[in-house]
Amino acid sequence: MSRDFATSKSARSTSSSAKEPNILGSGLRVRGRLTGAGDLRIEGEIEGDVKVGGALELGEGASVTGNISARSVVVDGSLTGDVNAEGAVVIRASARVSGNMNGSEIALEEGASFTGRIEAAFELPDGLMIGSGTAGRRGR
Amino acid sequence: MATVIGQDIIIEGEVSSDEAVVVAGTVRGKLNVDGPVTVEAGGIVEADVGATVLSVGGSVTGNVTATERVDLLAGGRLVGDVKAARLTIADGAVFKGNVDMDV
Amino acid sequence: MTTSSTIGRGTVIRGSIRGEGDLEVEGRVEGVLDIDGDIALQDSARVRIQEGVLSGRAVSIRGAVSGSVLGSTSIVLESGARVVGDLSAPRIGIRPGGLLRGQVTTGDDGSSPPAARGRAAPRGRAPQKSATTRQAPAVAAPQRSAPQRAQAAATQRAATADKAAYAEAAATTAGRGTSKAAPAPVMPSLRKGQKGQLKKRGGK
Repeated sequence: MSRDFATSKSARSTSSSAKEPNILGSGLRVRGRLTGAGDLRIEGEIEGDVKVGGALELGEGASVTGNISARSVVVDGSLTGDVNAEGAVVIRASARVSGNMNGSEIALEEGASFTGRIEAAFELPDGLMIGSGTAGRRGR
Repeated sequence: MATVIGQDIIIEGEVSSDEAVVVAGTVRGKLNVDGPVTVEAGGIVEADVGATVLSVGGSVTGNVTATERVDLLAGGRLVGDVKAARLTIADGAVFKGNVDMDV
Repeated sequence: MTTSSTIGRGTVIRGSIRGEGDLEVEGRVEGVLDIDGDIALQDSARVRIQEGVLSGRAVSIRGAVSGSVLGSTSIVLESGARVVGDLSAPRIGIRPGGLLRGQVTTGDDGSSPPAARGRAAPRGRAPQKSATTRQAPAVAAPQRSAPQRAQAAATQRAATADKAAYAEAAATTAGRGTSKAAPAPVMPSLRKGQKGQLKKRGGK
């Protein structure tokens, strides 16, 4: 049994991040942009971009088709779209993801289905950067 | 901590090291080690070799410069010039090349 | 019996390493690394692939790699790993602390849906890796000659394949919810021109 909430243009969460996270239950279906200040757990279906200020979790049965922006992101369900996080992005073993991940750190559990780019922020050491010449035998 | 090139591995290019190297597989190109080199039976080196000590139980084709010694073991084969302070060639080994012990 | 090799910490190899058996790398390798065996790059390992891709069975990485990686069974980046390059294997793991910049494709030879590959392309990087994972054995196999040519050809093939497949997937999967192995591809409402408030895929 699913309830179909076809929200108009956007759904806005007004709770502060300190309280319990907001949950979009498994019966919910949202079409349109979703924004909020706090944490959010999605268990339903979203077609549209999601932008929250706090932690975002996609539960195992969740499905998001759209780009995600949050402080941190954990994906356990289905995601088609890009992720932009300030902090960590974690893709769990049962996730199915297609999109590009940006964050300070991106973890991918074995078993996850993933297609897309992973862009963690770091530098390669010791003259390994593409295009740099061989620096000779590296010092020990 | 040694470097071991296993019998089913083929390296083509330059191998440099400052630790012991054991060749049971194939090395083609250059082998320059600031340490002992052991070519095991079945090992194939087609390269000029630099080492402190070179021990040949397999096949080496190339010029050898050893700062200490070269030991060519029975069953071993060395084709190339050898420059080393000390050299031993075991009965049954095959050797073809010049030897310079004036180092 | 599988033979085991070790490139020690003080060893540098410039050239190609090929063959069979397991390999542990603690030193430096620049060139080609393509073996039929498990590969463990320890934290002191520094690998720079100059031709083809780093290819092995179960590949575990704790060190630094410049170049793409192909694992016929798995690829795991452990904490401390730093990799710039694409990853392709049936199973791929990136442990917390493992760092990657590149395209990642799980599953064997590109079983991911075409629409997903099309979407992953717009980043600006050559889309070759996603679509050509299906052709990985041909493209990623040890290239002794003209790897650039092969990649350029593959990019072209991928671009045409992407467009055709993208259109096909969009038509056939319209209205469907989540699929079994991969996320739902393009929904009809997300096609260009409709629903103006939805952002373009891949853009910021």
